[in-house]
Amino acid sequence: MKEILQKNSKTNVKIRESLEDEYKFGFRTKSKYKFKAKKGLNKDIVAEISYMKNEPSWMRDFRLKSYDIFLSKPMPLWGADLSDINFEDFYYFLRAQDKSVKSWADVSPEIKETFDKLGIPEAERNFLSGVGAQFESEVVYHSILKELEDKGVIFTDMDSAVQQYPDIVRKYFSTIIPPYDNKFAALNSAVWSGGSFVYVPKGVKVETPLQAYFRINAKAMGQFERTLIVAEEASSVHYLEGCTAPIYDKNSLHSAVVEIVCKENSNVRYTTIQNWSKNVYNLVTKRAKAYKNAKMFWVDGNFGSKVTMKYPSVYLMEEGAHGEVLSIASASSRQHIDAGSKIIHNASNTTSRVISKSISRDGGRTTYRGLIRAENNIEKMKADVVCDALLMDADSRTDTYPTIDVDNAKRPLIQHEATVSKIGEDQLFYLESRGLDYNEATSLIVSGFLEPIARELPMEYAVELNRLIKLEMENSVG
Amino acid sequence: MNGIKTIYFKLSDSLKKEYADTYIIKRGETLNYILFADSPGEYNITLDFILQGIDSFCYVYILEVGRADFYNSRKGNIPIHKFNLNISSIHKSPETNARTVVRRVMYNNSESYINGLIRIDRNAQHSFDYFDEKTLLLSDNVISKVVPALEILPDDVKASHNSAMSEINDDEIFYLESRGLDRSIAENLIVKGFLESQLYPIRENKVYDTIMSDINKRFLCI
Repeated sequence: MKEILQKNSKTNVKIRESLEDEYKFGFRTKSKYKFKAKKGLNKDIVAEISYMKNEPSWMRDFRLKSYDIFLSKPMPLWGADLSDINFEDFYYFLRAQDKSVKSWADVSPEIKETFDKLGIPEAERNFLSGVGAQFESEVVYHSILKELEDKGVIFTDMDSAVQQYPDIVRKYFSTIIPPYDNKFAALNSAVWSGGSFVYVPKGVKVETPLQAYFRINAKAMGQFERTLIVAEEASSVHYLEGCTAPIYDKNSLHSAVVEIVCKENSNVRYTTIQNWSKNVYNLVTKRAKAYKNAKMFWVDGNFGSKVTMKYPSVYLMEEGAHGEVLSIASASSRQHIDAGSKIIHNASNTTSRVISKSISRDGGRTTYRGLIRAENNIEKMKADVVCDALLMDADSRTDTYPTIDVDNAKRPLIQHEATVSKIGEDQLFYLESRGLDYNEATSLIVSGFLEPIARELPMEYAVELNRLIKLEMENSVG
Repeated sequence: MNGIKTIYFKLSDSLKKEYADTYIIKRGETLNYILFADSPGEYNITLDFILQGIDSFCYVYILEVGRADFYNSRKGNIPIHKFNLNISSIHKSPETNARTVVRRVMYNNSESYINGLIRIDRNAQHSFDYFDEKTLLLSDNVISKVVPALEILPDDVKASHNSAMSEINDDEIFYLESRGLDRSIAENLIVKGFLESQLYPIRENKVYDTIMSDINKRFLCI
């Protein structure tokens, strides 16, 4: 008995320590900026960004047109509360370094310090095929393994891609998510900067993941990266992204657009571990189009941010396409995570699967908002949706709003189920009776709850996810 | 004391196309509500069930048979079946239980839109709710949209929903046909079982026989 008590008091100290340092990426580094656009948003700023990047005229026109669309679109009235966002309050463009470099040694010291603290170069050495690191508005560092470069794989930042590969970029850019899709897609189209461009040629399989890392460092910063992934026939690629930011009293805005093209028989996996600090509005549009027999997987982990509205979607365009979304949301105090998925079955014999797991604690709110749509006159589609929500205490809230929409489909098979529960007393009792304390038991149960998703992550990330959950849980019961 | 109230509402009894009702279930009361919607036409129905007292229970069973041009082929006017249902169960006090079951059988070009909401308020701890929607398709031209929603505020509750849609299983049809039944009779038999299987909570009730005879009339198996 004494031993158990001692053990408990030890964990209590640990909990207190972790409470004090709740968000471990909250540090900020001092940076000198090469260029900082004026605060606020107007046509001149949009034109200035384009000028600074020395862009071709088609891109400049595209930005200006998108800005007009942005002004004409109303703010979304559904979902999370966005009334606090004032678009004049943000800096839309910050240049931290003259250009993106390929060698870690050439990265400027302040930026290097930031990414060293986040462990980026270490991760690259250990298990990645390529790395891109974005600091504020632009990518400061990117690298890719020599073998892959020789095979024709392109992994670079979007700004360089516009200059170096204009043909491919122009062919696919904004075809998946046009600027008139929604207000934030229009905003991104107008002021986009940075992001990754991945092109995998026919038949090439990229075995280890490519990673991009996004960091907001300045106060009241708006980060608008734009990512385009093109997977040609029978290719495969796994792209990972991670995001962090320091804590300021002013809110930041992150509004990305991610477009993915999965050609015949290709296999694309896109993993996000979003861990923004709790002053970031994360309003992201992500969409993939999957063609014949292609497979598209979204793995989406949402832990940070003040407000997240993100619905990764897959458009199944041709026969045999498969789309899958695995999503985790964890919200604690002052957080509202409104995540979900959209699957549009646009062809016969298409299949999809959605697994969503959410955890709300300390007054946080999670929402699942999903759509399964079978378009007109398609045959034999199959869709399976599972949403599980875990409520850790009485102050939190969880909502589920799935939509299942079928138009004249022949032989569809659609299943949806959702449950809300708390951690079972009997499960806790079982583990506690075997000598685990309350915190250990809770984090073990939560890890088990997330297991179907952790299984899909690469080894190192699964470990990281479990560690993150443990940390979050310790805070929650401290 | 514990009042058990059973309401059976057959849509064809009423010519009202717009219909909205709120039921408040008080402490210790049980409400069984059965809606049988099988007549053609365009309907807009809103049903709210508010569980206001401790230990109240509510069982809602919606049977929808969408046969767009089944009747009207005789009558000669344009046949439609457009069914718009908003159903919500709202838990306002602790230890309240509810179960909503929707069974739809869709023929021809029926249209059906269902919004099912489960809302459990902050103080309604230890509540239980389940929204169960299943659809049997007997046609390729059905239009359907289902939005089951959960809004859960307290933590010690159980709330789930499910929604599923498929055709009649080929094996089941084959089994019955191989025993000498016509395809149409085999289909009717399966549909009947599909609709009847969820009537067990009111088996003891007088209304049960009425509902059974209504289902039997609609799906002849001889």
